Amino acid sequence: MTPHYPIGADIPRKDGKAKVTGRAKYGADWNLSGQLYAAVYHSPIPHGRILRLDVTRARALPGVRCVLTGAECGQRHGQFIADQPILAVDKVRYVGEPVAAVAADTLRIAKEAVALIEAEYEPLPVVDSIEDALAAESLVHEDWSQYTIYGLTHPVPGSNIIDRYQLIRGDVEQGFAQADVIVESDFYCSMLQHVVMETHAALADATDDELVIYSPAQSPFTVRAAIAQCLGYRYDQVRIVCTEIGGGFGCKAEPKLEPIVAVLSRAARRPVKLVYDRHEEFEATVTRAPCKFHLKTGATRDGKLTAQQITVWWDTGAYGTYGPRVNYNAGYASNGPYAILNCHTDGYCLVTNHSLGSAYRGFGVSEVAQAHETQMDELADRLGMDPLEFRLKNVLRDGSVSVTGEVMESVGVAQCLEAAAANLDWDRKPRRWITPDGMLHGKGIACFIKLTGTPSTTSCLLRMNEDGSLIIESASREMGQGVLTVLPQFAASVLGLDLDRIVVAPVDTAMVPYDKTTTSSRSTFHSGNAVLEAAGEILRQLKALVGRKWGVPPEDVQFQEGLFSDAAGHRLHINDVGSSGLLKEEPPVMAVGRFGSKDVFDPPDAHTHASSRPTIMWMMGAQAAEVEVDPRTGHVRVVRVGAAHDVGRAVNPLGCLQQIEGGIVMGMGHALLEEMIYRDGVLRNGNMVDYKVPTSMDAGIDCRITLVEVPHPEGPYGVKGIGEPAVAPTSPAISNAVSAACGHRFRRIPIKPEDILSAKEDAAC
Amino acid sequence: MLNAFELYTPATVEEACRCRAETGGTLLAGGTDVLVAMHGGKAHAVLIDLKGLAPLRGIRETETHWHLGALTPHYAIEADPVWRARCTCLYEGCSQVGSVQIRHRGTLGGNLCNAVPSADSAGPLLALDAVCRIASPAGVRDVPLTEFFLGARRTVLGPDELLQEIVVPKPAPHTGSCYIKYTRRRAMDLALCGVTVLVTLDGGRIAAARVALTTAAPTPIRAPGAEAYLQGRQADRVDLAELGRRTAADASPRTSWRASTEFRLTLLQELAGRAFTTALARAKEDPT
Repeated sequence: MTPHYPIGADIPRKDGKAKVTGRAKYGADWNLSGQLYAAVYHSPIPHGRILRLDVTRARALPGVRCVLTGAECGQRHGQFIADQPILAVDKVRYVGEPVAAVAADTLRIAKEAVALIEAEYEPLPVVDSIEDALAAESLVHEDWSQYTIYGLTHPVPGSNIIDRYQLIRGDVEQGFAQADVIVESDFYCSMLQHVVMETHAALADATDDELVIYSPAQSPFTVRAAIAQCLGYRYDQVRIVCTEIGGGFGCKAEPKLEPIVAVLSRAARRPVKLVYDRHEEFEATVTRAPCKFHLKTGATRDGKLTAQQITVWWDTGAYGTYGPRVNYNAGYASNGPYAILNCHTDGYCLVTNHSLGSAYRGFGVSEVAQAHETQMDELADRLGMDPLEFRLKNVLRDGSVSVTGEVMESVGVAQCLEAAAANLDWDRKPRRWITPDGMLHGKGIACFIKLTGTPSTTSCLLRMNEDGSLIIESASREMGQGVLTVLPQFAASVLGLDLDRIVVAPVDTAMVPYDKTTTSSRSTFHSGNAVLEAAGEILRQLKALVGRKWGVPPEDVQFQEGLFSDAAGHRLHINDVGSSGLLKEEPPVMAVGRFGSKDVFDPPDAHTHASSRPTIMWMMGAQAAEVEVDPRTGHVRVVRVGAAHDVGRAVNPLGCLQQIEGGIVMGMGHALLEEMIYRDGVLRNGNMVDYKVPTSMDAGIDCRITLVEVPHPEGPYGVKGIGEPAVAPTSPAISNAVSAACGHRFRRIPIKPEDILSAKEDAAC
Repeated sequence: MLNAFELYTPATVEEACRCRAETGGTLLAGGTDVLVAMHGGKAHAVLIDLKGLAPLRGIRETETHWHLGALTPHYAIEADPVWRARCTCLYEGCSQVGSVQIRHRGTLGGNLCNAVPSADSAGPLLALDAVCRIASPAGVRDVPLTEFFLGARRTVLGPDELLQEIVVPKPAPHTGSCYIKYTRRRAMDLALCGVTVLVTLDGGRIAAARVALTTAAPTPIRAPGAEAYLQGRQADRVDLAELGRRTAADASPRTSWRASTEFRLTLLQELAGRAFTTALARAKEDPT
């Protein structure tokens, strides 16, 4: 048995069986007696003033219990800037924006009532692109100063800029003067949808002083705070009861349907349930914001980066939501995992009349990797260097100073690049080759750096049952990253208790202790630390009980791998604690674990964002791809992806590999398939046929994955996050490979067959 | 959520035809188009379920023809090796519809009567010279599939008619066929374009050739220019580029946000040659 078993063991996910057998209860599976069914009237136009909104006929329909409009419900909400009304007030800002909501005895009646709602709008010019937003001829929000700002958001008055971010180090002009080669290009990433299997759902039961919401919330305490704030409840009056999450990836991190069912339920005095259909999911939830980049990077003849200037514009849609956070996180990652002395990044988060750009697996890191990693290939080509060699010359290593001025520790990116390349047989393959049947093959590589949101805190509670089994209460939500399996592994590693005797409790904010969010690839790191602390305390309490029973002081009770013993020959295994009678009528064994990163956090400089410690945990990794391109049909097949991620310590290697494989398939979709297409503010492909999310039939990629383990000094057993990193380098690795195969530099994703057929060889590679 | 609708379950073909004439109802077979559209908000006030009609079920074989009941699910074609061997293009069409679940549910008759340009069975059936046997209270009439489609989502079916069978002549010896479906992903996708080629060899000469195109015009079509080019030609003298040009000349795809006309025409040119090459190789190996 390895030390700290089962840390490092391949443990199948504890939630797997219930999910594949249909026993898991997702948002839409919950019902309360006497509940009403809600339906939403969504804005049919992208931008307009509401001239008339008449719900009289809807209210008069038999079976309708409640119809609400924006004027009748609550404050605006938003965790960084409170700009979003629960239901539109005065103006509509995107097609799909909730304008009115109905609660009725049946869903059919609710939908009929929605059809009876009459509205007239004065159409306003549509802000339909990043360029439109910058032109500012039409403002999505006329006056930023009317909104409360809770943090992180820096709107520019009289503009569509909701947030500005800057990262400045050294002097870029001087850096470019030192460069022998400078490349400068624009890049573009499409708008994406999370396309979770489970559409958004919420069920509320409210009175004026009590509110219970059932929903698949990723971050129940974030939802609680937002709801309490905009509806005027104290936190103790609000319960978020979490259902299973049928896919999150960021889209369930903020309140969405929760405020709507809350106001309906409060008004109707009945429980109210709302489930979005797929069309609503596409049009009226959240997206990964499309973005545009301008990058200019200089290097010396021998391949050392001297300067990099970046501008990024995010089309964050009609309201802020997580947009400023994406701007911030991506800003810190915008230069990639490289040591560059002179950098200047400007990030602009722009509002438009599109669906809302929010959290999407990585908070902008895949997008900035798409830009900096394409530019790295452009530079390598100009320098006549191998892309891998060029990267290795510049990557951060232990002791390197980062672009924010941090002295880096525990940096595994060079090992990741080397392992990813080895997994692709990089050295044995040319950049580009053509098979006898005329197919083009190419290889590409990419790496990334990502922070976890800091500061943040978490806590957990461990309770030993009377039979000696253990319950972990933690608000880290299971959403595919394996917390239900990994947190018990941490507890078991301390206690030696069998894994099947440890369970993570369902999450309810009225019972489970505080955790900031399930985002940012933070759960195993943060909650793992909290569980370790609590498990240590459980062990201390058990030793005291054992000592009392055996008549020896606790310090004389030995403990190793689950076995208590003493000098007199007493022995008791922790699995037998329940049956031994040890716990009978004793004060219950329970313990609290807490973890926070405020102490290590160095608040960034407001102007330059320089910081000696902007995050408690950096995550890095690399992927290399081989593609086959059919030059006559434009079809691209991803043949193989070699991946390597520095996970610090693989607590559950099986879970790590599963997440990385999933990330690779997802990233293949980003590189080649997925885009939400807006024309004149209207979504053209909001359905499962026309939005090309990969199917399992498209997942046949030969994935060869290495888990690099460079331990993190503050991570539990050295852990680093892997949830979001898994997808971060995939799309640039693939697009670089496609560019190599075609001899043409592609600078937009997705790269579609049409793009390939119309591409001219520009001798990029 | 489905809106409220009336459901009729006629027991005979004649009753079904009269019911359709009287109610103007929508014919329901596998439901993979009709019910999906209803879940998406389309209102069909009356549905006429055809699943109880015996004459529409099963596959009958005569010496010269197969009679495919309109209710034949795609999976029946996919699963029976005879189709893969004798009518490879139809196997390729039916086995690429949607997903496994949809192929078990969706029917050949529904695929044709829905009359969309991307129907996967339509190109192969056009190339196979299939005939639609249409029932009405007056009896049955036969309409070649080439005359069945009137436009996007429009067919020759009269208000009291329904498609009873698809009659497929057995291919002559030394026949090979191929359907290439071009999609962005490998399942659950509609043809961005599709090409079916069927050739019958007489020694080295192409005795018969039929080319059908999918998502290349408002309806699935045959490509007469391409067929004329192939017909009677020595198989080894076929210039694939010329075949591609003639195929594209027969097509009239439109530009949409899904794909441009130019892109679709480029694909058609390329895929025509590929489908021909594969069909020819199969014809050479065809023993019967």
